[in-house]
Amino acid sequence: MRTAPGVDAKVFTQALKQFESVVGKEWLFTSDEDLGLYRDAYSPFWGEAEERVASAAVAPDSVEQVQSLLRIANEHRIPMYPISTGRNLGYGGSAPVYSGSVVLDLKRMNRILEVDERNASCLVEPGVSYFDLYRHIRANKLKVWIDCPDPGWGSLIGNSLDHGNGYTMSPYRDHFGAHCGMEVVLANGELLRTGMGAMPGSKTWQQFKYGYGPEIDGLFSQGNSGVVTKMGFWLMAEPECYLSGTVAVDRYDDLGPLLKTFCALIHSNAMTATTRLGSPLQLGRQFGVPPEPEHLALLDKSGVTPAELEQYGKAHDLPYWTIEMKFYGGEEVVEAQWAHTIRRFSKDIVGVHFTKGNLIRFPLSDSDAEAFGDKPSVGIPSLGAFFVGARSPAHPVPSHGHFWLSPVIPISAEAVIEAQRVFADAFKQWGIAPLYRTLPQLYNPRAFYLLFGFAISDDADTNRKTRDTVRKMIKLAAEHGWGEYRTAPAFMDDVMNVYSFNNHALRRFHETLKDAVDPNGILSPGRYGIWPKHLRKST
Amino acid sequence: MTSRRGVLKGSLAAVAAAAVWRNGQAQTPRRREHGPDHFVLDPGSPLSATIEGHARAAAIPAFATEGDITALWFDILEPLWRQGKSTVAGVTSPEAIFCLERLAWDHGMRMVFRADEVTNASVTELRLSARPAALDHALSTLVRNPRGQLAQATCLLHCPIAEGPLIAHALRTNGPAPNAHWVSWLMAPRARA
Repeated sequence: MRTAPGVDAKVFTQALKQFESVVGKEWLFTSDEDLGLYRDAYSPFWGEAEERVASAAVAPDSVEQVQSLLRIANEHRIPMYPISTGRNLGYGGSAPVYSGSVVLDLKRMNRILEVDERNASCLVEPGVSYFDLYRHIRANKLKVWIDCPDPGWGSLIGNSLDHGNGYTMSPYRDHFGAHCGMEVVLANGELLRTGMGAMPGSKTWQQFKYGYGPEIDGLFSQGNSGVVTKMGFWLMAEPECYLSGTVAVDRYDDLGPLLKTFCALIHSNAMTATTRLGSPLQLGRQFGVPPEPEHLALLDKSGVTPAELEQYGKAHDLPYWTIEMKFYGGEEVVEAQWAHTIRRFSKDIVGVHFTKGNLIRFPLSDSDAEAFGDKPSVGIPSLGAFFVGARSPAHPVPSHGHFWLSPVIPISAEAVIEAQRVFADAFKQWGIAPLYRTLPQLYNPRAFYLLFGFAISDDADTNRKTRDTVRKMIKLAAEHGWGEYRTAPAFMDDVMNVYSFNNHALRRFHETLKDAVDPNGILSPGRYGIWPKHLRKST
Repeated sequence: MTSRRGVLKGSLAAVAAAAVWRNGQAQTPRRREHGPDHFVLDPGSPLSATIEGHARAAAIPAFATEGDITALWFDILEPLWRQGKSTVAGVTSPEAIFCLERLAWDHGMRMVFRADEVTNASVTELRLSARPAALDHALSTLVRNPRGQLAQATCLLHCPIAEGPLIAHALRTNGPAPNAHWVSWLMAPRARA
């Protein structure tokens, strides 16, 4: 049997017995086979001594059981690592940040407590997945939508707390931004409700975010101050229609005006959906499919110029840059938004061209929902993302999984071009290639994310080199003012280290709070670079 | 493309529809001591046709899936496992079983047999994870002929569903074959759940 770090074996055994008395024998996991299920399938430390693994796992079924477990953990100073469903594979999965922690697995707490159709909100437990809520809404023919990430097998609460995003429109696609009210168990077992939930009998827990006094919800996202056991979310009222269309320009230098007009549209709420900047000339005709051999040879040519690519694009009908615009609402509204889009871009860019997608009316039948290609854009959860890189003629050697590095950059041509240059030069100098060529995505209303995927290997040396590369990239990005919005456990300290304004004032503030609300440091030590006092390197 | 509520074509489809779909709800089948209650087959696998024949003969419902398993999960397996434990075997891509295995854990299921058949540059490697005691004959056949589809089918059909220590074999053979990776597998309820 494994033991939690810093805990005497007898004490650990005693704590496990107490855990067992709370949840029952079948919900305490200590065998290697059981604990193997909690390994991070995409760990960059896979199979190495530094891989973060659980010493045990315990799966409560109720808030009261969570409270009891934390009181026991506090008494014996057992590090606990709460997970909702542990499906966040590209950013760490269910493995603890502090190796040897006991995983507090909340998957059994999977109750959909309320879906309020009139107010378009829900209240759920941590084990509720996007699939679960989608099924509930479909089964009850409710006129609301979820906004799900891709893949959509994870927990609403888990994804929200990690600042995950979806694909419909603001504010729903910012999953933490769309939350409204929390219930939290603190490290000492005390139960807390935020927002209007702090008032007994409140009628607006899922309608009014702020409640009264300082808003503290953010302390429980990307943090380790408590275990969230309930959370409310705003849902999107089912729109009558969905319309998408693509804006395309053919010249490299069109990027500036393209993004300037795009910003004007998103900042006036004319378009608020998640989208991405595309470049068929840089990435290939179809997203996720490598370019044709002739095209690839041109891209791989040393010193290829934008003019050469433009020439290739002219001959092969490939635009240089594209942006997909997505609209939700009544038919007359989305048609007007598309017409407005055409007018605004045409006014600013000579030669801009447009491709209008089909108008989709809701609700969709089961068969139409299945057939819909871009499911996350209409709030349908999918597992299709796992099959993008599967073995195929285009991908003869599939990867073993990947993790993400996600710097945030401004929405401007200058930033996009600078980021492309900086990272391309670095990759060339370091002799490495990330899994995907990348262009920014608009998950956030006011900034682009760059998503670099790094493949996991069976070979420890390869993984070590990848880790070194990522650490160098984190520093390089910070030197240019770009910080990550989220990261895998292996790099949480590295990322927190670059948020260093005024001698790491932010981290020191987090540490002060951590010491106050979790003095024994039992909750998720090290998560997002926040360590309890007894585990800080300086102590 | 995955076919939502897709079942294999031909007579098997009728078997599957009758056994599993009634009023749109999955039925919990009778538990077997050995082998699966349901099959999941990717028609792209050469082993799929062999399994389909066995499934038809044994009246075991089988579902087809290709690529994305979203519909298979949402429409078939999740409702099935929500109603009760049910042993499921399959021949799928590694990506499909990667997702299904993780989803199955939440329903108290556990992988009890797995054979990865990987062909690269005409060299086929078969990696087995199984309880050998009850599968001696089929496994010895596989050792003699790593691409023995009948033996793999036998393993799936007769694999004991109780948990036990997993062992690994790695077998290699040469022969003309395109690059491919197929996984045959069986997931059964965890003994304690």
